[in-house]
This record gives sequence, C-alpha cells and structure tokens, in this order.
Amino acid sequence: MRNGKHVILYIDDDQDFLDSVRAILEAHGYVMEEATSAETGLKKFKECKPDLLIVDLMMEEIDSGTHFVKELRLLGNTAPIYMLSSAGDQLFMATDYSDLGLAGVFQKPIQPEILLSTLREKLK
Amino acid sequence: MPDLAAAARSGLEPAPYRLPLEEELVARVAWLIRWRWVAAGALIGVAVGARYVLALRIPWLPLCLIGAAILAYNLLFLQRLRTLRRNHTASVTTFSQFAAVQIALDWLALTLTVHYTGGIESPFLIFFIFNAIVASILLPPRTAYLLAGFGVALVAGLALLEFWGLLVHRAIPELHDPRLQGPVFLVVALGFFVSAILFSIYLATSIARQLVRRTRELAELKQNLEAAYQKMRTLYETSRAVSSTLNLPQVLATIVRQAAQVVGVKASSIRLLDEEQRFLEISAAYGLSDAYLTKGKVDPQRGEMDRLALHGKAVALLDATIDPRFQYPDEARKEGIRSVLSVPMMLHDRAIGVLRVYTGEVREFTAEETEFLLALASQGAAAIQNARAYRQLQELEEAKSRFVFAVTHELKAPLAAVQSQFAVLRGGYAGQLTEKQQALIERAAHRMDRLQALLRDLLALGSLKDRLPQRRTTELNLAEWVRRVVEIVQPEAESRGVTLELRLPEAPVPFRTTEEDVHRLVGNLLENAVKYTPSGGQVTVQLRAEPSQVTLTVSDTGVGISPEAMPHIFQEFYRAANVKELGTEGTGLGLSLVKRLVDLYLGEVRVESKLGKGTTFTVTLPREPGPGPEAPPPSPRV
Repeated sequence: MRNGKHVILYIDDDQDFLDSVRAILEAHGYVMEEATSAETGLKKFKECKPDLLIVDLMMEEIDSGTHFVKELRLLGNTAPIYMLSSAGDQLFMATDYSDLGLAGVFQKPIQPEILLSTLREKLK
Repeated sequence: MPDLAAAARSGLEPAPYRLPLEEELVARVAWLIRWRWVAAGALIGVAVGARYVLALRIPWLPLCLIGAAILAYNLLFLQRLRTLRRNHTASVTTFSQFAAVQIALDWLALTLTVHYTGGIESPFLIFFIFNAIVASILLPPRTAYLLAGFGVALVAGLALLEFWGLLVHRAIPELHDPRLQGPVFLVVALGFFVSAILFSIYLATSIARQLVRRTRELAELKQNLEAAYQKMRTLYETSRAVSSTLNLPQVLATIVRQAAQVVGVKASSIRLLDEEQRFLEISAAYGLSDAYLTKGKVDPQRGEMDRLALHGKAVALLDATIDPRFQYPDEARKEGIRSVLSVPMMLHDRAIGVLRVYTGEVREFTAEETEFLLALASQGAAAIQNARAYRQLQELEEAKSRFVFAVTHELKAPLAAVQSQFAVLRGGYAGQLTEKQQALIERAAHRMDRLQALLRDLLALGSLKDRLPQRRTTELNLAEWVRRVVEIVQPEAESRGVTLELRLPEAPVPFRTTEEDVHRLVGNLLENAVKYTPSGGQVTVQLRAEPSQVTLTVSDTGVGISPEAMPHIFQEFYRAANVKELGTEGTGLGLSLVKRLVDLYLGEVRVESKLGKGTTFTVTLPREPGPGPEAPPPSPRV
C-alpha cells in the first residue's frame, strides 16, 4: 500500500495496454506501477512491493510471462498474480495455471468491469 | 511327363500329372476293356444263335469257350487297369504297353475264332481291321505296324497251315463255296487281307498323328493364352491399385512383387533417380537381401546398363557377374544373381527410374516379358507422378494455412489494444463523453467486437487445419460438457425469447476430446440455432450414446435453410440469403468450424431443414479406435 492506496504492478510490453489499464485503475483509486519487460519488472517488483500483480503472458518471447511468474515465486512473493492473455492463446492452454500459483486470468482486450470487480474482491 | 519346371516358370499352377493326350490314352484303354465285354458276349451270342437259330453248322462250343476266355482275360485287364489308375506315377509307356498286350491277345482270340469259322473264308476276318484301327489310334505308329505284322503273321500262318492240311479247315458248310479253293484263292484272299490291314493302319496312324500334333498345338496355345491373360490381369490390377491409393510405398511394393511373380524370376527392384538426377536409389525391392540393397547407389555413369535404360531402352544382361555393363558384379554373384533385365520407367518421355528383374540362373527374356515389364514400369511412373502431385498440393495447402494463421495472429494484438482503449473511453475513464461521442464509440466498439470474433474463428479454423502439436485430448464426460455449453448460451437464448431444451443420457458419456473442441462444436451449432430462431421458438439439444458412436442433435424451430443454400452452408464466409435479410450477425465461419471439427474426429454431419419451419443438425462421431485428432496423416515419401 502507498498512501492508503493499493499498489498494482502491471507488466506488459505494449504501451497502449499499459496506458488503458492505468486510466481505469487510477480512476478507481489504485496506484499503478508499470514495467515493459520481465527484467525491468523484477526490478520494479523489488522497489515498490506491490499488493497485486498483473502480467502479460506473451512479451518479447513466447511464455516469458510464465517464466517471470516462476521467478517471483523464487523471490518469495506473496501478492496475488493475475495473467493477461489473448483469447485462443494455444500455448496458454497447455499451461496449468494452478501449477504457477496464479490467482486468475484476464482476457485481452481489457474488460474494465471484470478487472475492477476482481480487484475489489481480492484486495479487501 | 508334364514339364513341371516350365509350368512353375510361367507362374501358373503346376499342370495335372497327365497331359490331355495321356488322359485320352487312359480313357481309351478303359473303353477298350469295356467293349471287350460286349465283343465276348456277342461272340458267344452269335455262336449260339448261329447254331440254334440259323441252324448253321458251326462249332459253337469252341467258340463259346473262346468267348469265355476273352471274358476271363478281360477281367484280368480290368484289375490291372484299376491298379494302374491308383498308382499315380504310371507313365504313358506303361499304358501303351498295356494296350499293346490287350490288342495282341485280341489278335490271338480273333485268329482262333477265324480258324473255327472257316479260316481264310471266315466272315470274322474283317474284324481284324477293326483291331488294326484301334491299335493305330492307341499306339505309336511303329508299334501299330508291329502288332499288325503279328496279326497278319497269325492269319497267314493259319491259312497256310490249313492249306497244307496241318490244321483242319473248318469251313461253315452253309457259307462255303467249293469253287473258292486252291492256291490262287489263298494268295488273292491273303493279299487283299494284308493290304486292307496295312492300308487301314496307314490311314489311321496318319490321322492319329495329325490329331496328336493338333492337340499338342492347342495345349501350347492354351498355355500361352493363360500366361498372356495372367499378365493382363496383373496389369489391370496394378492400375487399379495405383489409382485407388496414394500410398506410394504400397503401390511400388505391389509392382515389384507382380513383376517378379508373373515373369517368374527370383527378385526385382525399382530404383528412382534422386533429386539431383544423378544416382539411382532403391525405392522398392522384392526377393533381395538387405546386404545387396545397401551395397551402394547405382551410378548410371558407371553402370552402362542403367545409363542405357535411362535413355529409354530396355537392357538385358545374360550374366551380370561377368558383364561389364553391370556396376556391381561381385555383389551380384554373392546374391546369386545371373541374368538381369532393366526397363525404364517413363514419365512424359523422360525416364525417372528403372524397374529391374533378376534371375537365379542364366536365361533370356522374351519380347512379351519385356513388354509386360515396360507396361508395369509405366504404371509405376504414373503412380509416382500422382503421389508427387498430391504431395505438392498438400504442401501448398499447408503453406496457405500457415500464412493465414500467421496473418491472423498478427492482427490480434493491435485489435486487442484498440479495444482496450475503447473500453477506457466507453467507461468514461478518459473523461465525460457527449451523447454523440458515446454513440459513435459504441458503434465502433461493436464493429471491433465483430472483428475480434472473426479473428477468433479464423484462428480456430487455421489451428484445426494445421494440426498444431498442442492438441491434447483427454477422456471427459461429453454429457457434462454439452450441458456446460448449453448453460453458457442460456442467457442469450432467454433474452431472445427462445426456449432451450436439453436431453442428455443419465450415465456419463466418456469421449476423447478437448474442452475447446466441445465448446466450439456444440457452441457454434447452438448459437446458430438460437440466432436464427425467432422469439417464442424452441431449440432442442440431444446427446445419444451408443457403444460405437455418439450422436448430437441440435434442432430449432427457426427460419430454416433453403435448398439453394444447402450445398454451401459449410463453406467459409457463406451466409444464406434469408439470414442476411434478418440482419443477424455472424462471421460466416461457424459452420466451417463445425465441419472441420467433425472431419477431424472422422465423424459425419447431416442437415435437414425446411424454410420457415426449422432446422436439425445431426452430428455422429465414432468412439475410438481411429487415428484420432492428434496424429498427422502419413505422407508418402517419394
């Protein structure tokens, strides 16, 4: 938390998605930190200690999202992590996300109502 | 004895152990024995009848005794015949000798009869001719003449003995003309007798010889015809096999086997030019050891035989182990190969390979055999062309699918980004919107939703075509998953005023598939049904499970499909005229997806519809054991 607001760390290599989500989150009293790659994401994670993370499945490489999540686990992360994926990502279907310890999955394109209601539930 | 070796060479079944001519001989001998019963009986009958009915003074008792003797020795003959028949290795010679013995004994009996019925004046003399003819038919000419000589000697001897008074001349008084006596009569009578016998034999043997020759020619003709027929049958069956399957290895294997079996050789092979058109590589082989096949590539530059063959000539080597035109003489010797025939496999006036046959012993190949192999080779070439063309087609098809898939994939990300941005706008997160702005944004967002649906379906279609390696099927309860899909569509149906009815079996329905496939298959059919049914209508979903298949039925009381539209409904992007009017939206890919999935699962889909009344889709999917949706199809290696 920062100044009484929940901190959400969102990692995605597409700036348009970062900006859209920021507009939604900030309008509802969340603080959003962003990173555009797994590498910078890890750095940001250590810096800002988020309450919740949203990670894109496919960044520069296939499955880079899942690797990132595993790294976070190793760093002893306890905040809930949500994955972002495009509908029909075949590769995602192959991954068992209970294995990764994910709290859930969001579909792209972003559906603001679903995003917000999930956050409200999780960050009570 | 029949030529079994020749029969085996021709690839036909071995002939029965007697040629037709020999069968004739056996039959005739049996016939002779049968007629002898009649003859003996007739002799006895005539003797008794002449004595008591015609009241001729003939010595009927001796004649009856002769008849009895004939009956007796005929019985012995019958026993002998039975023994010979049971013994399957009895040869022609044995039967000939048997016939000769019979005829000789007959001559004796006849001579005795003649003696008791007037000697040179006997009416029975004429029956000698009958015997002579039988001898000529059954026996080779020399034996027939010999026997005739024996018979003539008997008669002449008898006549002379009677003339000299050494034997009693028993003329039949009623038939006797005393004027016919004296040496002149004897000489004349004997002369006519001998010439009649000799002439009969001469006539009969010439005719018999002609007959034998003709029969032999016919037998040979028949064999040739059968061999030719066999070759034609083989060619026909090979061409049928070639046109009925694209399994090239199977077709080539059939061809080499047929080549070897019909021509009657030890082994055969097909070698095709490799991609650089430089070496000949083995593509199919029959009757050759692995050691021989892996001896190395055949280089037409070094093996003149194949170089000539590739120029379109059939080349035969009498002995491959010593012929310089053969590239691997040592390997040939080790394999036991002697003669080799190579014919080119021609495709569009160009040779793409060679068909070779190998024999174990030195032998020449006939023109018919070479022609047959050429025909077989060209069928092989045709099969190869088919397979290559098909493979090219498949590759093109796959390249196309991959392209479509890649393009669609690239379109997804930017579209998702734009949609997210519109979501921000619509939600007012970028500031308050005027009514006009709101309306425009709504419409734009809606169009993008449609575009997204299209991309999703295109990707689905592409992934099904391409059989991406990530298909992992599991055993799931089909009934349960159908229910889930129905539940998802339920709200939509309700909002349109359409009732959904679900009929599922009580027991679970295990089926090997993925959740995605169930969702797509059932979902698309269901969404269509709901979309095209006006308010107040009903959609029924039924799942039936049988041991060998499952049947899914989706029927609606909707607008129906016209007969003109029917053949096209599974085509990509096709939307029938009547639904376009309705203004309902669709990607036009839903049914293509359904069809693609049904094909993937080796099932069938049937449609029944009546305009204005409703439509029923029936999907049947087999349960195991087929190759399943995971394995890629085997492709022919050419």
